[in-house]
Amino acid sequence: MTIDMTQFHQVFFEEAAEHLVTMESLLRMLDVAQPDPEQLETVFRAVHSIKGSSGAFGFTDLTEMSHVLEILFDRVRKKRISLQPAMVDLFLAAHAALKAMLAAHRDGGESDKQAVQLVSTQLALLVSASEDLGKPTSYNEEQA
Amino acid sequence: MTKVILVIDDSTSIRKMVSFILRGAGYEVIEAIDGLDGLEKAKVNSVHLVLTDQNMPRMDGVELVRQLRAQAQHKTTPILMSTTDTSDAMRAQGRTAGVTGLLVKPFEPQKLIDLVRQVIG
Repeated sequence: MTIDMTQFHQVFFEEAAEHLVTMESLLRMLDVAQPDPEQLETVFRAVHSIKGSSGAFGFTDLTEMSHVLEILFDRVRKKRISLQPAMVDLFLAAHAALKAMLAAHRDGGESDKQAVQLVSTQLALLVSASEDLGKPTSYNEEQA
Repeated sequence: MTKVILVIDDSTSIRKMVSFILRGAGYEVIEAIDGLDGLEKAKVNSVHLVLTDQNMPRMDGVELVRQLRAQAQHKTTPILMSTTDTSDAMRAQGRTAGVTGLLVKPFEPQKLIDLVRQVIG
């Protein structure tokens, strides 16, 4: 059965843009020393939703980055990583990269691949640095 | 008689896409935007199959399935749960709650139709 998925793209673009607005406003609002669990849960859900729906429509660049963010926010909300200001800056950079990727898909342009690569590498480093889930992990600010 | 499927997903784009696919395959679809909405719609509608997302706000898929199974009218209703989480823990949670089958996301339209046909014809 062949279905033209492009008919759902506009709904996806609008939905993902809303999740990105939520993500950014909550990241800017977060109390880094004592993050509100509900706010963390909402950010987690926003990136999870972007991951799920971008995967369904084949926007793999969005899926890959939101998947890594989902892993990290899951660790933050479960207090396996303690949030640091540099980490929030990295998440905001990831937000900007996701926004650029979304715009590129929507408008038919291209996102800045180098910028995306840079953020992806930093996120991957953070994932690997926080791999030990046995105890809360401190984030090395130099990595951001 | 046209069979009725309750599709529950908090993502509008995915819900619309899944509903479109199922309607195209000849099913009647009722949409719900999360677990709580799904629970309400399952109470007041006669459905042959529930297809729910797992990760949703307000009430997730696993809790929804638990609550549906606690109702006499849905003790045997087939329930499929879509998820990106393929871990053994999620499979076990689904089984314990009473899920009929898991659908791993993302999935091809034909895979969805094949699975639904296999379950309710």
